[in-house]
Amino acid sequence: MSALSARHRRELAGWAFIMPNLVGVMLFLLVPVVVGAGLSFANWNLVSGVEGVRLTGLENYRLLAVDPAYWRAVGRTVQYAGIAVPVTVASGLLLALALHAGAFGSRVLQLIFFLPHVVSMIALGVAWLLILHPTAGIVNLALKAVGMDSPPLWLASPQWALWCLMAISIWAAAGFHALVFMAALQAVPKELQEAAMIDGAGWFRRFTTVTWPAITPTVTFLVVTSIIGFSQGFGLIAFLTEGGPGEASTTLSYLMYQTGFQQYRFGSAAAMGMTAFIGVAVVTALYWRWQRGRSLA
Amino acid sequence: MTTNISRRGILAGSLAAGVAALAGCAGSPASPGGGASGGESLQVWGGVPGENGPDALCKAFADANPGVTVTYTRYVNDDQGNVKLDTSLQGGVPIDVFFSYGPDVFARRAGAGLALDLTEKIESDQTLAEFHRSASVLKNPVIDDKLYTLPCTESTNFVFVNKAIFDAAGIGVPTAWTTDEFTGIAAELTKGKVIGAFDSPMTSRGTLGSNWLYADDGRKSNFTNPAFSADIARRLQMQQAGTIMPRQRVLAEKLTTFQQKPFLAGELAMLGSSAYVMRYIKDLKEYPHEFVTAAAPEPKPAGDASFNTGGLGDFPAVSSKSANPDLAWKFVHFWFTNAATHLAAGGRVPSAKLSAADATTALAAMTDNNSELFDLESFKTVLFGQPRPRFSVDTIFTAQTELITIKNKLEEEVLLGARDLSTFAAEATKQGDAALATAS
Repeated sequence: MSALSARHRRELAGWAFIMPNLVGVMLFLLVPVVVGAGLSFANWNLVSGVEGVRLTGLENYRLLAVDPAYWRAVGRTVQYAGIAVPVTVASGLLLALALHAGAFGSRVLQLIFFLPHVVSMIALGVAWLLILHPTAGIVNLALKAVGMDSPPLWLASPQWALWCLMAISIWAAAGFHALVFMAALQAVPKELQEAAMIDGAGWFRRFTTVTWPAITPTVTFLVVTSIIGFSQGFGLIAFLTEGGPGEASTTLSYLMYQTGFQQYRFGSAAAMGMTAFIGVAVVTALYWRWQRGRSLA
Repeated sequence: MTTNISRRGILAGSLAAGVAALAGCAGSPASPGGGASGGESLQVWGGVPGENGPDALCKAFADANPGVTVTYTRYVNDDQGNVKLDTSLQGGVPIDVFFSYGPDVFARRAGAGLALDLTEKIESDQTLAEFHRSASVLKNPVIDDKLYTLPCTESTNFVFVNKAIFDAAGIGVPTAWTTDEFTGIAAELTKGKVIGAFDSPMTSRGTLGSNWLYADDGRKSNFTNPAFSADIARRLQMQQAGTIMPRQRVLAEKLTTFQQKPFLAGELAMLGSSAYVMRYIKDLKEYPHEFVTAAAPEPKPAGDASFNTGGLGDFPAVSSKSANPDLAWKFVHFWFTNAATHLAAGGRVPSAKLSAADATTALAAMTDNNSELFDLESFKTVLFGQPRPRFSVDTIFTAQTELITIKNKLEEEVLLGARDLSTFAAEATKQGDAALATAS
């Protein structure tokens, strides 16, 4: 018989259960992150193999600090995430409140709003390309019908492209946010709502003193995941504008792609990735710290 | 009757299916009789779909070399596909011959030691004299004073002409013309729903020749050269006159990739492009049209005997890790000399010297000799006439991809009205020089 105690056997069983996931996370998440971090201190062009890795210390970071293209991309990323995150979370919450209040056809609306989240990004992209087409798209046809002679060129316009991408991203994510908020709203203690009503609190007062504190953990979760998601937004940009027109929609993630996979400057791309990682981590930590102690729990 | 399937059975079945699927991914081997012979084998990676010629070429090589099996694996020639090839070459996937489709991409691979030095093999063959380093007009990229490839195709840029529109306007198909004449004809043909041309001729590459993007031996960018701004000025002028496709429409409909669409829909009188468009002209199912297309040479600035703005393409290389380099070189040479027979149908013009019979064969493959779709004589003159077009071959590749991206990005901003043309040269130089400084 085994000499292992019952406690050790339980521990071993626990390790055995988590091992498949642990191995997966280590191999496909932690190892690439560590390698990426190491690469950010080196020059590497992939074709020269591992022996072609040339350590350069902080040179990649120094070059980024003086590269105007990098800072322009950072600016666009901050604009993109800085607007898309609060708007998405707010629209998801409004949608959830309307659906939770039992608005007419709420079940159908729920399905409609959630649909963009499950449809493939390519299908979404094609649909929006058609909708926003400068001459034949439904938006500009409608604008021309109401008398606008020169409607915006939307995705083909350096002034509008990033805003269009933002709007599409918000539209695609709001349904998912609404769904998560719906679950949170259902968990708000009914007795507290009733007590507030008896005390004469109106809808707004009940929302700020009962509902909001109760759903704050959900808001935090959605804000944090949205900051991470929107600051890494890549798919729609790659498919709809390829960072253009000009560089109007080149965000940090797209610049990373161009630097790494088009120009084969993987060290520089890794350095960009590390700065993005640090930036997102700092913003997330600050938000986390700010929201602490604001929930009901 | 009930059949019980055990978990072990399902696992075994899944494994078998997986192995079969992986084997299927590995491409199709070409050998006499269709099976592996147990003799020598070659692994070839290229970006052209097998059915557009490579499969037939591999089979022809295998037929000519009994006992040899050739497996052609297609990679998609985009960012992801090229990374896949590079990681495979680096990771030790057995590859004997691989193709690159741009001089900068090829130079990067050769410079990193992924390609075998072929200088001696190429220069010991006098039939390949025009591809030697000593050729009067360089026709082969020289990297660190060595040769690593035999460019197999010529991508001549020329103008596709909608003959029905030209005939209706009483204009003959030009056999030599200037950019001013092109601009004038485009204006004359812009009527109703017809636009004169897809784009204006971009002549800077042809005028400036080899290393057109570089000044000071590659230490600086060359965007202050007036040829670049002149190109954009002409483009802007034609766009404002409505004689070329507006840039916003090109972007909105992704027409840079699908420029044949408006041309074959009869919306354009002229389309400056290269022979690959001929595939679409023959594809009446996807692009139904009833007019005849003619070919006119690329227009040049007055008095300019410059290079064609196209270039040499399809750069095969023997992998430096090939276990069979001599057979791989033999294959490269075979591909080079037989491209006319097998690749022309897919719209690829061979770079090898062609006999009159070879040129006729290639033209027939490219046009199906269909005179209802092609003005055959004009295509013969433009693609195979003498003297053949000259192409500039670059020898400097530092940050070339970055420089081209900067140029395109800023040009686009000017065409979309987001940047004044007068700021192009200074901004492009600033960004270009910074890219060169970073890469050096």
